[in-house]
Amino acid sequence: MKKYGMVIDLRKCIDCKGCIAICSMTWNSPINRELDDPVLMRKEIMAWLDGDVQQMNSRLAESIREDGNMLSVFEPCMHCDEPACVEACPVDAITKNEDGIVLVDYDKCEGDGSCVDACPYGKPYLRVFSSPSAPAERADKCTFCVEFINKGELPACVRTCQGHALYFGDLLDSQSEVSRLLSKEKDRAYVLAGKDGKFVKITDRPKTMTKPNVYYLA
Amino acid sequence: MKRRDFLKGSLFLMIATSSGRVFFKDKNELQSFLSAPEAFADTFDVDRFVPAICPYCACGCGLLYGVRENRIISVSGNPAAWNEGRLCIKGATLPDLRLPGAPGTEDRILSPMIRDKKLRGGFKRFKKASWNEALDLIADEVEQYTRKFSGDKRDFAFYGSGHVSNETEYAQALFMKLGMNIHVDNNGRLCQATHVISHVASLGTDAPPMDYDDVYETDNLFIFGCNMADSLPGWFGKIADAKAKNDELRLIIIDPVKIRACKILDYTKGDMYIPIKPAQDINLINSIAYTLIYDFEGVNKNYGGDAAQWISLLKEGKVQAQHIDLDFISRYVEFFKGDYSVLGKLGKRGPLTFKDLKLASGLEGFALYAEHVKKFRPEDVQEQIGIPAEDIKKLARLFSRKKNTMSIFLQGFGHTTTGVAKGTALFTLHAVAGRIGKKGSGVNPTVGQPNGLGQRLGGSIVGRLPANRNQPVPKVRREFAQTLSNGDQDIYSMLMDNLEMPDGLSRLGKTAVDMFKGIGTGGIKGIWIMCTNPMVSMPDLNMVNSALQKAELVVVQDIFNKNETAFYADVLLPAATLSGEATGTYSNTDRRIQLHEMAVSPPGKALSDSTILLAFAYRYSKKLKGKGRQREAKLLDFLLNRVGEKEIAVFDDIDGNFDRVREISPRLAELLWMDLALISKGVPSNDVSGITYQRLRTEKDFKGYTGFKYPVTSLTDKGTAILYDEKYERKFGKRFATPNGKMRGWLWDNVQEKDAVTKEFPMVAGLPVRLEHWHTRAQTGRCMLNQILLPEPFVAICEQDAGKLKIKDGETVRVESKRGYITVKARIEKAMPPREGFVWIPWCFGAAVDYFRSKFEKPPGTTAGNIITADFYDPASKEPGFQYVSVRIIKTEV
Repeated sequence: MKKYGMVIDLRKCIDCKGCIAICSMTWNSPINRELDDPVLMRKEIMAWLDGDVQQMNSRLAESIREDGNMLSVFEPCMHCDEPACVEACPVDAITKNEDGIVLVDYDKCEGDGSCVDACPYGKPYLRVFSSPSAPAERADKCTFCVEFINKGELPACVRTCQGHALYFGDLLDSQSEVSRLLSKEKDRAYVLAGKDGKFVKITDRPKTMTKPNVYYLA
Repeated sequence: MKRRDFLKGSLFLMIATSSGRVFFKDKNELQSFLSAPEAFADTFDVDRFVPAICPYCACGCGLLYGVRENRIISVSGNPAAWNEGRLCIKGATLPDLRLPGAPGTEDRILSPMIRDKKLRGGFKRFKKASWNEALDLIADEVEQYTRKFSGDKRDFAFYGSGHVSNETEYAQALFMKLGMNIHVDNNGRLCQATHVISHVASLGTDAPPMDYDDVYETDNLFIFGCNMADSLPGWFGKIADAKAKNDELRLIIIDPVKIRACKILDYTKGDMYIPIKPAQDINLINSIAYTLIYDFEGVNKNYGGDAAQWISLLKEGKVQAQHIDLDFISRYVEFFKGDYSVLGKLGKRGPLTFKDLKLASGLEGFALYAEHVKKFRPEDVQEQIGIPAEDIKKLARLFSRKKNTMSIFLQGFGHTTTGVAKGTALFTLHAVAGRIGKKGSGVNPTVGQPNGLGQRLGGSIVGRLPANRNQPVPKVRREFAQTLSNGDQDIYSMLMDNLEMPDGLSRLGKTAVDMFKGIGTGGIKGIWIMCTNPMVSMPDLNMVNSALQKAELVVVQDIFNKNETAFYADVLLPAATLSGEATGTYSNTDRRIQLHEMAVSPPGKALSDSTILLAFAYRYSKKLKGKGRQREAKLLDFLLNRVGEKEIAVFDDIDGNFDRVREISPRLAELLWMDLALISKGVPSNDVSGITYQRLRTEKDFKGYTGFKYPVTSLTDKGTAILYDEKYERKFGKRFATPNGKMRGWLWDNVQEKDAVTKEFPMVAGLPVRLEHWHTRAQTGRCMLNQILLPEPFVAICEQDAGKLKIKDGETVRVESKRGYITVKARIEKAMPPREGFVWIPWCFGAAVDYFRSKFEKPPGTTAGNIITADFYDPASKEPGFQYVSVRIIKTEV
């Protein structure tokens, strides 16, 4: 039994955008780069450039901080303790596995989009183009790179982070780097309240929240 | 096996892992990588992973290409390299350059192409040619031009790049510069020439002295004019990490633009952002020196401002200095007068220049320095600098805080016409404070391009010889010619003829700007441009445009047909990309030599750059013999044979032996490296004689990473972290690389930028590199995410100036200079705002509007930032002033 989570130190983010780029590459979102058919490849590339497909498994939200500095907030799936997407799915295609990772079963998913509407963070999306790992017209989302984790590796975004700003590990293990960081830095620990990018201090987290497992140190 | 299968259960995973995926085909050669536990890449459906280096910035992040059936499918950071698996957006999107059917990359050059000169212009009307045909056509014309001289050199120009391998740089130096004796310079002239001269003038020879990890050791890190989060994200990431780990590290960013790097500043801890007025760095540096000497040491308070009195008491040991390092100065520093009218002749006159400018050594020289900086009282210069005197004093306090201070500079110094003055003034400040030549203390002028340092190490740029020797020093020329000629007296005298003028001064080719200006005015007949895009990157694009139209021959060696420079090509030579398709080494800005392995074979008839240069030299030598120029051919043959007499015979018939040429290309690269390593033996700070391909493949350095930081002087040497510390002194017998082992301090006054603001052109524009795109966008403009995030040019202006000019966000404006104008959208920049009076324009945009939709303007286009820049340059380094352009902004919509 584990509960994987992420801690993102916003002070260390240098805005190099490696996280979203490697995520897009690894999970072939929003388009499938592994296609062999040049005609299809062209179609998908132009759909992306034209803005017809956009959504990736993660995003980087940019704004200006109160002191005038830039703020970039990397947003993978929050892998909530009480995931709204799981609750909303009419066919039970989304489950939270024993490691705390919220996953879509593509075989069960019927693509009705309930999870897309239900998630307060706007994380699940309906895939337009299929990839080697996920079919089109079904929900898809960040999996914390579950395949890598299962092999004892880190998610692609964590591994590529130039600012060493992303930490990943088991929140139930008090000796894990993420747990130690959170207990040491709890005064600067926040979670995202929703799509609007507002932060809530973990100490005053409202009860209605879905209990996200991605923490931000500000 | 598909990824989704893995999601179904961990049992399957165990089997899949233990069934053993093959990372590298040649396990023996690449065994060290196998031991890297995280060496799993990001896709499961690949045959193997191949290590290479990111081809963009000078950080030189190691990466692993995931290859399936001769196609690069994925990329991830190499965990065994210094970057420990990390990549930024540019590295992460590299596979986009190789997608079948991608509309942005359909114009890959697959075969040599020739176009009738009457049809020059545009991307069409080329005819396919064989390699033999294309190279012989070039050889034929070049043989005619080179019968005459233009200036010091024979009349033809080769314009290279800091993106090719060390091996290619060395080949370019051997065959083009020394053998053919033509004008040879690189795009490095636009990038680090100022750093080279700052190093040479201050430290004796050229090499960035510090280490990436010095940022973990230092107490105070000053970043002067270096847009580091954009231009060097890999190294800047370490700074973010160091800041979080070390509560006592203070970061100070000095720049007219509140650059992206400022986002990690913590003002509550005492970090500072200093929005300096452009080109005021010397005033600021000297003002810091003033504060240290006259305020902090109490010279004003205790000695009525008489520094000489204070120094004499110091000498007698009656008082102690707290902020100035008297011991270091007396042992290791000499002082010189900063004077561009003399220093501008450094290239030609070498050490004579220093003799003319020398003031005094040690404390005697320091007394002059103290007297010199007396006129830079913060209260007196604050208005010029645009920073309150109080802040200047705070900077001085930070500078001499705790033990260690480190400074980094890049194009805020480099891309100005006064960069050498700024760079050497900064070295001097560190020297008098004794904050140099120690772990965590010193100045590191960083490199910009992925092999920017390699063009110095390879010796391809004007003034540098292989192993980064100082050509302007007569003794160095002689020793180099002796080493290279290997006892052959005739070869020695031919080499000396090509290195030295009859009057005993250095024989130098034209530097980049003068090279292109020379074509325009008929002094140089033709040009060969390799792996660079001057029709976007050079200053004053109208000048370049006219030069390329007037040239009698334009050869372009590159990967894509549709780039602004290839628009004017008569001959296109298809190159392999070094990262992914060829073998060779890069030197990053940390002085680390790393190896690119070939991941896939190049498309079509493309060949690696080093192979193309070897092939040309071989065929050109034959041409010379056919035309009765036996002596020149003898020298070329001698140089070719140094690399490999047996191997080069394949170039007799490149097309007939094509498979063999492809096959031996990696070996030829290795032979070039071995020769460069051999002749680097004993060269101060640039000795790579202990580095072999075998070691790069199988060993780790002193930090446990792949690659080695030079100097590496023997096969058991694990590399050198920093130069000019006590360890360096013990090993090499001298503290600095000057003849007497002392560093040179410089007394400068603030120097006026050449493109001075006027009433008509009252604002200053700078052209920074942006994170999303590399250089002229020739590659990253073809990668989707990069293009989506930064699709078009603009001018970034601060709210105050926009208000004054009544410009609205998104409105189209004209940015005009004395050279011309561009029409772009104005962006009222909030994230990275410039200070009042300053605007910035991304450097990367040219006539290529959109590679994906094949939209091109006729070069130079209407939005390319370099249309407005000037071809003025720093007198000593010849580097142009891209970051100081006087402009006015005109509303086009009323």
